[in-house]
Amino acid sequence: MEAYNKLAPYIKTLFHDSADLIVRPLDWPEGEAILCQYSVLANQRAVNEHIDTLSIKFQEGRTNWGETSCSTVEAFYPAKLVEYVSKGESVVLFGETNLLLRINLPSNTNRSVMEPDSEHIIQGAHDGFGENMDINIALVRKRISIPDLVVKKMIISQSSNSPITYMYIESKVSKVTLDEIEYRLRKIETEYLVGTGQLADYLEDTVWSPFPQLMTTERPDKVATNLLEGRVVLMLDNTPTVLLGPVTFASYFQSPDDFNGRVLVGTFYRTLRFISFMTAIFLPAFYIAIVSFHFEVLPYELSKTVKIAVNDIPYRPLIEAMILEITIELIREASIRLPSPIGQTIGIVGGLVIGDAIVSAGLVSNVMVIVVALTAISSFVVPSIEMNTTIRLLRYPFMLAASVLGFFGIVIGTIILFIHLINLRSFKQPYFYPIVPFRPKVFKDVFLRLPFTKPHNQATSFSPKEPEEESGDFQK
Amino acid sequence: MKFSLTKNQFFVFLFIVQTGSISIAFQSPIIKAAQQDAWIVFIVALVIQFFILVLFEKYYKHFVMNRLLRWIYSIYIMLILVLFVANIQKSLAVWVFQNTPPYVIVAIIVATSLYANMSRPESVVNLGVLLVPLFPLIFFFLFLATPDLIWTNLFPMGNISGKEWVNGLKEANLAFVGTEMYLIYRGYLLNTEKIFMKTIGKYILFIGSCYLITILFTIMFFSLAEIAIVPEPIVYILKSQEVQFIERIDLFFIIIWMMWSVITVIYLVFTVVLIFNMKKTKKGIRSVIGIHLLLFIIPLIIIWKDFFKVGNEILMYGYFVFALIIPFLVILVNTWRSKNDQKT
Repeated sequence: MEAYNKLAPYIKTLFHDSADLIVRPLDWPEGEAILCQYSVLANQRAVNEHIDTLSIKFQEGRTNWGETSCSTVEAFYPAKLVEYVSKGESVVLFGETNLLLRINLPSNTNRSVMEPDSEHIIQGAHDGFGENMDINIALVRKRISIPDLVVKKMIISQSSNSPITYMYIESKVSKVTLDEIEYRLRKIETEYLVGTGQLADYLEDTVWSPFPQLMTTERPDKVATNLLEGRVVLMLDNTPTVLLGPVTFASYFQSPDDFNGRVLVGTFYRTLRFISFMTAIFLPAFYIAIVSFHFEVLPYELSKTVKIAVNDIPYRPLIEAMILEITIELIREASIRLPSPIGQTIGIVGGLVIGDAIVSAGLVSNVMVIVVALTAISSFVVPSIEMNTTIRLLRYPFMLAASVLGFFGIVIGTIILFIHLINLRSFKQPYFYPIVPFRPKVFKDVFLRLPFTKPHNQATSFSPKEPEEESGDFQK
Repeated sequence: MKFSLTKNQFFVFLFIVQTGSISIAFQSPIIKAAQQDAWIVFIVALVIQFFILVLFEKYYKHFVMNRLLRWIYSIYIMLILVLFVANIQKSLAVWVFQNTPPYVIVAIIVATSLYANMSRPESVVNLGVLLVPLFPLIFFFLFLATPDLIWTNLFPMGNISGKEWVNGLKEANLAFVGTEMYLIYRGYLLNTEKIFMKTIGKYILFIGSCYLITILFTIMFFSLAEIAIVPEPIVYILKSQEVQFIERIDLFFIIIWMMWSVITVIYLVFTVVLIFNMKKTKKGIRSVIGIHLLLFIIPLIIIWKDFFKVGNEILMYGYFVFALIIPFLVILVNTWRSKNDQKT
């Protein structure tokens, strides 16, 4: 007990006498042993059984008594002790020999593998990532069982000690992209790295752009497909969301359903998503431009109906649209924060009751309700949550431009949006590929889900092997 | 600025600059000058244009601009630019913004160009891609007018005088303003890309067909007396069309044309920036802002003083000087010099 009495206070000081820290003397065949672990992180029953097994091996005089798949013996340093215990490992100290036995048997506090709520599909695999990185990696490895699939770890934040794991397929990834990602990861200076949003901020080329330059997903099947297309996957521990890069604008419009269903059906829905993107951004702006400036565009019968509907509304079309758009955003936000049954109720109450009441009260016209409802539906068609929010955000400047300058405002807004999209890069790869730089052959694949019987024609929204010089892009 | 272009990017760029804002206005002057034979005159002008481009392709390496030439070409392009911007404002004032002050429209166009020209070079040059899906729409709208065309308007054929031929050819050149861009940008083509006579032929056939359709439609839709008083015949043709779902398709055409014109302005400013090799240094950025300030002020003076006619005259004769005389003189002198150097 002499060593225990000496070391225990010191170890407790290292961990600021934390309540969940266990520092306890152990029965060991020879000399004194001290167990050190966080009770909440270690699987105590398994650790105890493992220690019993090792103590028998030690008693039998085996040379590598401590070396197993989950344990190892090394020299004791206080820094190492702190690192391992903080990670959730159990450490046994041997005061006399100055050795340390580390046992990695963490408590099983993970939720089961479930389908992610934000990325439902109809056909295909229904599993999703969880909070445990090892399970997440295993889900990917199960799908791509080749030695070419490389998993690497990097410690970024010294304070939280949390590793970033990045995965790629050696034969598919572009060396330039990989070097760029590793360079950017090394450049990160932060005390804590808590989520993928924070990581994306450090890695993205243009943080202030409304467009996401790294795709987030919780679906292992999506990750596997993207890895096979040459992308790199970045994972953080304790979060089910992973980042994919480099991505293109078009890749946000693809869904695993496209490939699990029939060729024609996949093509139809993929095209529909692009149309919905246009509708979601331009429809309210277009309506505002027509009502405010260009009534003469509408055929006589329709213009009569619209005029009657608009005449009694006290506000300008922009204000009218804003009232409805903000109401829809409120309903959406409220339904996310509430438990799902209540969330659905709020959606129905908001959509039907408020929609009807707002028209009856004469605050907005019924045509505007149709326009905004169609816009809202269109914005939810895009299978990516980040692109969804981007679209919803983008429609406001377009509405403003249309209310000030009519069609001319929409034209100027479109040109600016287009310039911005061409300017964007995802890990230095052109974001708007294959539209700019224009690749006619790849361009058609973006809209068409071609049969797998012609794999060379299948859509890959990103071509890592294509050198910049050949892409027709500019070189600085 | 060090960059390279693919063949497709190069020709899309040239097409947009050449068609630019002139595409809706050049039909009237050529028909006024060459009457019902304007389309024949235009075909001859096209053939001449083809040979000019072939010669440019053969000797473009000898077109090296010194400091003086850079200034001359920049001033000329700025002149085209200010006239374009003034013309865009004028057309918008007629068709869409009757009550909006000119400086608002000009400021918006100039600000858009400034944003574009502050971006990467590849972003600027690739802007033309935005117009590709819109281009077939223009002809779709135009072909709606086919039942209203009177094909006998084309007769009598080949009945114009020599003077009308000359005037017609002179007016036809308006359609090819920006030909000198071939020489300015040809050197930036990727080394792997080759341009053959067939490539130029295809380009001329494409741009020529587009222009020719608009000329033929104008002749067959209006009488010669009507054309004399219609400044933008294509817009009038579209305005007269009735479709079930849209009452005024001319407005949609104007939108597409607006986009086309703004991108042309961006391209032309980019060319000035390129000629002076303005880099993204503080000095370079100041120069780009300076160009845009001029681009804001001068068109307003043109609109205020109504200098349109003088401006268009300058453009027409400017084509002869800057797309033909100066390039061929420079090419000749440089060819002669290089031959002399080889001898010595």
